[in-house]
Amino acid sequence: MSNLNFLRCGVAVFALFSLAFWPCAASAQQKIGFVNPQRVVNETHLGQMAKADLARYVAEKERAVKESASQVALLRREAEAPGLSAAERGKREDACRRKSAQHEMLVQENARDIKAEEAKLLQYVMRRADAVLEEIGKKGGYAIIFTDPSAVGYVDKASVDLTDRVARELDSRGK
Amino acid sequence: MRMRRMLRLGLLGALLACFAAAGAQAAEPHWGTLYVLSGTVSVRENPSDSALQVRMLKAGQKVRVDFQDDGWAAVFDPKESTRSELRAMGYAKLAELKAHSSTELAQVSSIEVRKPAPDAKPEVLVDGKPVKAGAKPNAKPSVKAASKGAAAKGFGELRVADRQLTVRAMRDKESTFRRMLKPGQRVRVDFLEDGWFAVFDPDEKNRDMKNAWGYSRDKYLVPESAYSGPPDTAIAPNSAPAQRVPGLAASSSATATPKGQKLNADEEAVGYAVMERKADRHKPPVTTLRVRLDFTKPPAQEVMRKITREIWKAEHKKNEPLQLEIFLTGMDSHGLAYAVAKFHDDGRIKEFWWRDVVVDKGKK
Repeated sequence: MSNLNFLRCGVAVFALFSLAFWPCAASAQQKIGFVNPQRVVNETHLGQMAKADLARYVAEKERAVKESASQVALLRREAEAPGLSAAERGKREDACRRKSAQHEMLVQENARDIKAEEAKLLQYVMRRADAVLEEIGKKGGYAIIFTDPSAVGYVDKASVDLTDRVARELDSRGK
Repeated sequence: MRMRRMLRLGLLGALLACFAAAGAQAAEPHWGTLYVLSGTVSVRENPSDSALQVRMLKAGQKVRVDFQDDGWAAVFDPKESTRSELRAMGYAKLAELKAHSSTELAQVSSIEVRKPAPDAKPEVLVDGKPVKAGAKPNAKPSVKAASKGAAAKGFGELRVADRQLTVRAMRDKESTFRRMLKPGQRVRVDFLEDGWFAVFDPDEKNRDMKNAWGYSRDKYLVPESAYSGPPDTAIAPNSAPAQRVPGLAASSSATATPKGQKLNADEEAVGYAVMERKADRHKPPVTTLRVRLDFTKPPAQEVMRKITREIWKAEHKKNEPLQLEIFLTGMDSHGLAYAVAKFHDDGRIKEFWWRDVVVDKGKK
């Protein structure tokens, strides 16, 4: 019985030692890095192109909204024109209401589409950056490279933040 | 001796001047209508008031106008030699063009130079009416009047249907069907109005509307000299619009059969392959067509828009909202498209955007 207790104690002590020293041993061999995707987009040629593409897309969407808004305004003016019979005014008001509802739907759809396009473009840039990340990770012996700023509480920029390196590498590949 | 040398030099000079004048006249394209503007006219990307304004024509500017349809017309550079809608600068309202036309040219709103037959001299039409020699008070000397020979041959001009073409009872595509013209069939045309010609028997002598077979769209009735044979039905057997621009040749990877690319030598050829046709049952339903163009580099955006319109014409089915995703050669077909176009029901572009990022040089 005492032997068994002794063995149990020995296992527990070994386990405690292992837990205490393992992270140090691991961190001595492999590193952790961090890349800020927003900065990759803002600071690379590729990211700038994606932003310009998105701006163009937004402008195209806004043009459609503007057109639709002017049509609503026109219908409203027509519905408010003086000297209309009640029936005619009712008809025009109906048309205006229908167009107005369509316009609201268009505005909502556009907001959704713009978000989706933004995500697509960001994904495209990050997919290209992933190839760079993988290479840097393998060469530099990084076990993990975080790309989600909200998942990281503190980053020592000098030792862990790889954003500048990734941006430089990505730009050099675009030349 | 000196006199003889001077005479020789003089003769040589005169000959050179004659050649230069003849060359200039030969270079003048014989299609469409020439307008000299006295005011500003806006040119839009599509024949619609809501379409993007691509340029503004200024007073004094000369433009060639053709492909009239529904109160709109395609506007070209006056020196444009190829009669292809793909080469248009854009579209302008006919009423606007006519309202802002020059008084410089015999106080007319338009001067149209036509070639009635390959061997005949160009005929001049002012506001759609033929002008006889001597009846051009202030016209520019470079514009020649109709030859007497051409006038003697008959009224209007002889044209050829460049495809199977319907002749209708009125200047309206919904009006009663009268007869069908075969590709290459010769007809006599006159009374051009709103993009519609009155069509007559080619041997008709009387310029009387009562004798007309009916009306057909002017843009499909080409001068004989411009006709290069029947359209290649293999390109799009069931789709007449696909034949509209001979410069746009299609091939379909879906059937894996490279289809014929019969083109006019002077037309630009743009090949494309349909990679996928995917119907989306969302509200509203839309079919997305993924198309690969035979371009490794993106063309100019105006050209790209025109190409998408032509592909829409060739590929759309009735009551099927079609959205195009355009890829360039060498691009990943599962990735993001280079350009995307959405259309109105009548083929006008509703939305068009492109992504430079996907054709960046550094791509993998």
